[in-house]
Amino acid sequence: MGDFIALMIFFLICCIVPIPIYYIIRKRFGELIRGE
Amino acid sequence: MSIEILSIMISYIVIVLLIGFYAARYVKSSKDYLIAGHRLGLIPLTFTYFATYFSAVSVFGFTGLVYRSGWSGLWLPVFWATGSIMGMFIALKLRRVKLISPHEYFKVRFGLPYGFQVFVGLLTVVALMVSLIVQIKSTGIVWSMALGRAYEEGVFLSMIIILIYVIAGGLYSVAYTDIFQGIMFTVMLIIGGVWALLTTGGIGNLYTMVSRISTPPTPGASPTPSGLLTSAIGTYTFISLLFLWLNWAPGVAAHVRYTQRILAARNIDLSLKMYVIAWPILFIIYTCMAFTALAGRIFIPTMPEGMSVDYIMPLIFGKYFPSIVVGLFYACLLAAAMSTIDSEVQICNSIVFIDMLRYLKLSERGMLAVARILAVVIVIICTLITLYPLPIIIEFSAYCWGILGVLYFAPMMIGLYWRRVNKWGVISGVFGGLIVFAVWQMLWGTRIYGIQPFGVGVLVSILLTIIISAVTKPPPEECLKMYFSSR
Repeated sequence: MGDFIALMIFFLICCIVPIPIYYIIRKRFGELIRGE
Repeated sequence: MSIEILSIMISYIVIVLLIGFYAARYVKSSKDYLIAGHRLGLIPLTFTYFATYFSAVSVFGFTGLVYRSGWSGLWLPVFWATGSIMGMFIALKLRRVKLISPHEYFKVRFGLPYGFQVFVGLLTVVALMVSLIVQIKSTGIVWSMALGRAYEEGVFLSMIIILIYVIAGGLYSVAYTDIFQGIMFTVMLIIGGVWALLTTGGIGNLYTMVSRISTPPTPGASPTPSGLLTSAIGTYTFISLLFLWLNWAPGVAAHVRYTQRILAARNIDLSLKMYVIAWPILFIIYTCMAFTALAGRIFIPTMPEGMSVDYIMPLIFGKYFPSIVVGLFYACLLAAAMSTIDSEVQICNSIVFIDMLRYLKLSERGMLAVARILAVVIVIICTLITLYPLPIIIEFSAYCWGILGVLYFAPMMIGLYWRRVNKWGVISGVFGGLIVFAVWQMLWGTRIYGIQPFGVGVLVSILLTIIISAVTKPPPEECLKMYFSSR
């Protein structure tokens, strides 16, 4: 059961990684990404 | 033919058309029509991203894969998710310049001649059309499965509906109809997953029951090794997983379906947020589909004679759900197919329009009319090829994803971050990658350690892009200022 759950958790991590990446980018580039 | 299913299908079609016409009021120019005027807001943008991402072929294909090979099928969405992480870095730079079609990037960033842009555009359209044909076929299959009516009727009907709303509102209609279609199939696929967990008694029981299955997935196939269906690695090896990643992740990162959405976003911020919101939803959808497919394997250990594993979802819904839910499920499959088809038609439309623009001296109204006529031409060609398929097209379908990945991944992912990448690097990467990919596919396919030909092609294109760029003259400054200025 361990590897079964591990793969699901790994998939979950891959799907939520964009959240911290987005906040890092927003902090680093701020105005640039929000501008038109 | 069930009246409930027919009424649901017709209601779905009417709602899609109404939304399509509603969104058409935003279209005032050819730019609005082709790329939503670079003004798509967060909700339509996110839904058009993930509805386009999710096709009927992926519902059939992914559940069929999990039914046959088990939980290890989840590696595919894992790879797609990692590809999307790279896609965010493409979005961060690509949206700086307001291109109408992703293939214009080659001229703008590398100063490549117009002829190369046309070459990339042509290959992209051919690859997309072949992929479109597979999607269009799925609408005919869904229609005939749902209502027992002719396959051709389903193909014609869905293409006419798509044509009507695409002509009316272009990318705006595509995006707004995708909101409805995306919500619809998300809800239905979650219902499937919840049903799977409730009927089997939860993940623990599902795991125990599935791990005991040893029957063949289809009559006459080899028996399934005990425990295979619950193994996270399944029949994969490390090397096959690595090349499978190279096969899928770069294709997802730089696929024109998604880069077109990046360009349609109101700003860079929204183009990044669409990934942030879409992927947690996709996690839920994929795990629900995997649960449904595994529960399907418990209740139907071997598919009925003559039925492929790809039909496990319709089989489960048809057998265990009331006809209203079955109708909604078929409408959801149609939604998944149509939301991908309309996007691909729209991209082909943009590419051909941009490449023809050089030869057109038209007013804004004239350009809008030409863009709409092109949509009609593309839909007619795709429908005819779907109904009268040429054997060469079926053979070519194995090459589509690879061609798009080799064409776009290295130039975008590396070219947007490394100033040194020049036109010689891109030309050698694209041609080298395509040649190696095509030769490998023809000679060996996946017979060598399960290595995917497309993965090899991408690897070669990355290496050639880097090496040739490093040993040739740096690109002129005017090619860099658009993407590397610190504005």
